[in-house]
Amino acid sequence: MIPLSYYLTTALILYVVGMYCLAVKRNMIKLIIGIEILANAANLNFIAFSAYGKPGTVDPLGHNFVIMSIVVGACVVAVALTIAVHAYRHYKTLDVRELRRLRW
Amino acid sequence: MIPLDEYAPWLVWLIPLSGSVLVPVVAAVNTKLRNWFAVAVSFVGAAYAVSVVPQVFSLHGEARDLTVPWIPQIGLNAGVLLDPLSVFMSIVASCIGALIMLYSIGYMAHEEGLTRYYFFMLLFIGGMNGLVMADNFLQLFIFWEIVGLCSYALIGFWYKRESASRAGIKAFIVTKAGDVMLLVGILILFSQTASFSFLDSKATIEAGRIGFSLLLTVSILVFGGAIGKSAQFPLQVWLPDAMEGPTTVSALIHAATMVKAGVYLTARTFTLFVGVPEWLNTVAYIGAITALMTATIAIVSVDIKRVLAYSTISQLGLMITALGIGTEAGWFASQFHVMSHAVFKALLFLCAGSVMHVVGTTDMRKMGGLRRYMPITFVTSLIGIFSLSGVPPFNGFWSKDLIVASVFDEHLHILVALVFLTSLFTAAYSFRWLSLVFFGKEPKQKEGAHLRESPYIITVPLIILAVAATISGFLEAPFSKFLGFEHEPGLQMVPLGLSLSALVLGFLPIYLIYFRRSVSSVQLRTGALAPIHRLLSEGYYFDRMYYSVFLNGFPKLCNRIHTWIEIGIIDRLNYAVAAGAQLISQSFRPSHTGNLNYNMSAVLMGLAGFFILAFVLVGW
Amino acid sequence: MVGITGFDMLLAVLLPALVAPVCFVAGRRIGRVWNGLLATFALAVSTVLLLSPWNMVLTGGKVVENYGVWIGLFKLDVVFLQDYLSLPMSLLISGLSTLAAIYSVAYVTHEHNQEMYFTALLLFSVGMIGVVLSSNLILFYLFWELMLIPSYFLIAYWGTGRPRTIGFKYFMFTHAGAASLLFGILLTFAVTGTFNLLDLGPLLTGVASETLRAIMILMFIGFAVKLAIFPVHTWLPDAHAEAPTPISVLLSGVMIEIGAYAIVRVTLTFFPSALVNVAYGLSVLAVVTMLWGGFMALAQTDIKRLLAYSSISQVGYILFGIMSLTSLGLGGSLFHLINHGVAKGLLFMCAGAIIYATGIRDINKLGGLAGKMPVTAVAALCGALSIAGTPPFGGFASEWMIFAGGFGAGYTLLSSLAIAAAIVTLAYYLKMIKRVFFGECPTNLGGTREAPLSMLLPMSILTFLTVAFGIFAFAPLQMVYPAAEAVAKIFVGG
Repeated sequence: MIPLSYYLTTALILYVVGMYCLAVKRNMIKLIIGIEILANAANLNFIAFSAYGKPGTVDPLGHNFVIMSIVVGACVVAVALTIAVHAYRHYKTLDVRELRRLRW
Repeated sequence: MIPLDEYAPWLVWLIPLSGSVLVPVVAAVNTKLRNWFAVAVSFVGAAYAVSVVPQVFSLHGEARDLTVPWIPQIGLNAGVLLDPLSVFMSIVASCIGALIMLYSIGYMAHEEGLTRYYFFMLLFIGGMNGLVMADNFLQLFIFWEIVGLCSYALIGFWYKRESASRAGIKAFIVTKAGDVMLLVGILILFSQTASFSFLDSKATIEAGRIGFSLLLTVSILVFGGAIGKSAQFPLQVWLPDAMEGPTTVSALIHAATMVKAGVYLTARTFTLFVGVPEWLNTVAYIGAITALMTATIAIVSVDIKRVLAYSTISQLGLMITALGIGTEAGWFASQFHVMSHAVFKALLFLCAGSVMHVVGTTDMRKMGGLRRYMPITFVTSLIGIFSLSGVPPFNGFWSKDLIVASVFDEHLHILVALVFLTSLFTAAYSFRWLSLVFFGKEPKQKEGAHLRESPYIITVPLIILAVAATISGFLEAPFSKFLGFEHEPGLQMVPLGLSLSALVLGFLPIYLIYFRRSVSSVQLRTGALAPIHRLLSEGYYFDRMYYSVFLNGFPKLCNRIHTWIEIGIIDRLNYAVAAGAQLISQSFRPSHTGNLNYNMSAVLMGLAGFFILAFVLVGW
Repeated sequence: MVGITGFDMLLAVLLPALVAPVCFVAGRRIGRVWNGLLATFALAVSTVLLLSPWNMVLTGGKVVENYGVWIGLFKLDVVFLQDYLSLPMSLLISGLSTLAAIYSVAYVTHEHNQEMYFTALLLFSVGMIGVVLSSNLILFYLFWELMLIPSYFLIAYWGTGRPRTIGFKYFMFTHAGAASLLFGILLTFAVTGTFNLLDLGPLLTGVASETLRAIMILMFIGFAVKLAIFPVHTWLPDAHAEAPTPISVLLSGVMIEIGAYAIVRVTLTFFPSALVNVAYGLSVLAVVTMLWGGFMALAQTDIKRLLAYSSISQVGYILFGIMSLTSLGLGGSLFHLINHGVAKGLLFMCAGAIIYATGIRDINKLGGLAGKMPVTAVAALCGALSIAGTPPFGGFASEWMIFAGGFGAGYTLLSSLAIAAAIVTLAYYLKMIKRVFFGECPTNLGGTREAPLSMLLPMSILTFLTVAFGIFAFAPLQMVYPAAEAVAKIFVGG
């Protein structure tokens, strides 16, 4: 079996990629993709731990969390894309740095 | 029948007090009824006061204390002290009060606001009687302040006049300074004896349970109250201005009764503090200095009532000096002079009122030659002046001679000299007053103004008081028996000589200047004696001094403190705190850029910080 | 069946709160007068309900109404307490609130949103009554803040000058004090495990003295801010001067005295050991407050600011009496709470009447009003002389007891200074009365008429009380003095 640490490292890399995307990218669609990557990192983490928790068995709790997470993630993406579409229609731009009315 | 014996000492003051509260009620019915109601109440009170005399004689100089629980939680009782001194003072206060109330009906007939006048006059009479009949210091203080309140209200009776209101406030505040000292003294004594009662305090002091320095402090403080109320040095400045009130008020409050309260207090506490020689010295010298100082000021005054005001202060000084001698003879002399002075000073004020009623001014330079037109007033004034300056056989002569004798007997030569000089100046200003008002040429009168005698309701009290001034001097023996002394009335050679020579020496220059007109008063005033004249007219600059400190300096100081510290520092501190809080929020504001990326970066940084903290604390 | 209804105290506290929304909803329809009368009626009923335990307190010492458990985890019950200390205070609060409500009827003629005004007034009273009736610290704190919020609104929306700023300053200042108070309360719970005032005494004996001192200081700061003693007094002149006059009556006459009540109820009763160390210093502070308030009042020309600074000065007297820790001094202070409430309330009502009749607040521009407004003049004189400590008014009766307490505690010099401060008090009051009522009437004030009856009625009642409490001092002292003795005993024994 591949050591656990490989999965965790992958998850970590995915997490960093997702955070980088959220912190740097301007395009709203890219931000949504970044959120998805973050969610997938967390899911991968859960699956890894559920497989490697007790040797020889697989803990189904992790899988449960992942399924719920995927469902919720789908809803989140749906709503986020809706917001992005409406924002584009209203502000004629997908650049999130232009939407600054919630500033001080 | 109403049991006089038991309740009379209480009714003496309760009746005028309750009468005063009823005055507005009666006034709503009928104003004439109100006036006569007030007079009737005062006469009833006087009757009760006199009715107590037989009881006192039966006590032979001892005191009887009647109490009633008032505030049971603290163990405080209200009470009356039935003893010769209190009954004597209450008779003076009620009888002269009743007479002056009668006089008021005619004198104040054309004034407005009379409900207020009669209310405060009755309240005053009740308060004064309550003061002298009180058996404990707290009750005395309560009535002390009540009469002070009445004095303020009555001096400022014509409240639309700026000078009258100012005079009222001046009186109240200056006496309050004395009252503060009195209260401190009373409370210190209370903290040592756990009782306000005179008899208890006397017992405690006689038992020696109070340390000497504490006793000295208390005695001086209590005398401080007397200084304030009796207008002695250095608090004498309020009484001359108090003449802004109606003449009846001046006669009752500022001549016959309230100002005597200080003398009464000193006489009452005499037995408590007589063992403190510093107290006696203070009392004697303050009295003498005041007497001489104000007698000299009276000579230059041109207001008919101000002369009498300064004269009152001076005579009060003599009474207080007599108490400060420390002997029984001195105590008796001062009380005898209280009685004489109450009679002749009230008489003189009422005569002044009669003159003012007719002439319409208080400036003596606009008067003159009135003896031809106002014979009754002139004769009664003459009797009053003779009493004041000490001409035999009027009452002033006997009482002043007693004072001189008691001072002389103790061989206190400085005091004798001061008293002698005071008598000299007293004679001087008295006859000057007489000549300016009644002798000389009449001034020019306005069209249609007549100079005629005052109506009966004004002259009858004058006559009564003049008769009293004539005969009361001969009451020395019964009076001393009443007070519980064994005193033989007699005249000693040297004091008699001193009194009479002071009289003559004082009269002679005045005769020359004012009666004979051989020396011109104007020349004296403006010539070599001009600086002295200025000094005396300004009242030794006491008023100026007090005004500059308390009316000018002190409010300015308060204003400065208000502007610089209250607003400048403390309030600024508040606003500084508020500004500081705002500064902190403002400094954080720019972090809300509204930029989503920045927010996410902040989350990241926070997360990183949390991990670092976790590693550091948990120590992986 | 206890008292009139069986749940007197609860009803006394809640009735105004229940009537408040009625005032708001029906207010616009029934008009200002009926609205005001409704509010007055509610408060009058409260007053009567609070009177009912009088005899029981006199004989038994206290009356407790327990309404059951509220938050059992922290041992919080809804319990109301009437004893020697709280009964006179609660009567003062509800009585003065009733009078202020009647007074408001005429006052709100020139105001907007009168229905909201009466609602806030009722809630304000609820808060104040609740503070003195509550017997556990959380309920106490709840009502403490409850009296803060409506008063903020009343100052900020019906006040004069710069109402928003001043209301906010008042709110922040007293709230900061209350935060300190909360801290102290929570610390108390941490060391004893209970909030209940009835149980707290014995539980505090085992606690370390540093902790006790810390708690005492924290709570005292909270009470001191409410009481407005010297360094933390600056909210008072603005708040009391710019509040609408009936609210000034309540703020000056009652609310600051709740601070004093709280000091006696909490600090003196439960932290005697920590207090005796600072009692002398606090007495000095009290005298400084007295003199400071007096000097500042002398410098004022606005009639309401003058009265506000006078309140600060009087608070100094009250604190002085409390810190003497003798039964005479404490009794005097508690009695002075009543006298000051009555007299200062009366004075503010007179000031309000003058402002209502002339529209002028500056005493230099007034004059000669005694002829035009005689009742107001007499009332103002009575109130002023009472506070200046002149017999036969009530103010003297309580002040001499305070001074006697000071001498009894051995503070001779301080007490003498305190008595001397009376001269300053008299000076600024006589000056105010003279400038406003005596002298010549300026031509623009020629048409001034006396205040309306709804203002004169409470003023007359209060004038009568200033005299009655002076002559018949035994009546309030009957209730107040046993409280003072009970508290003073803690210090003599301990």
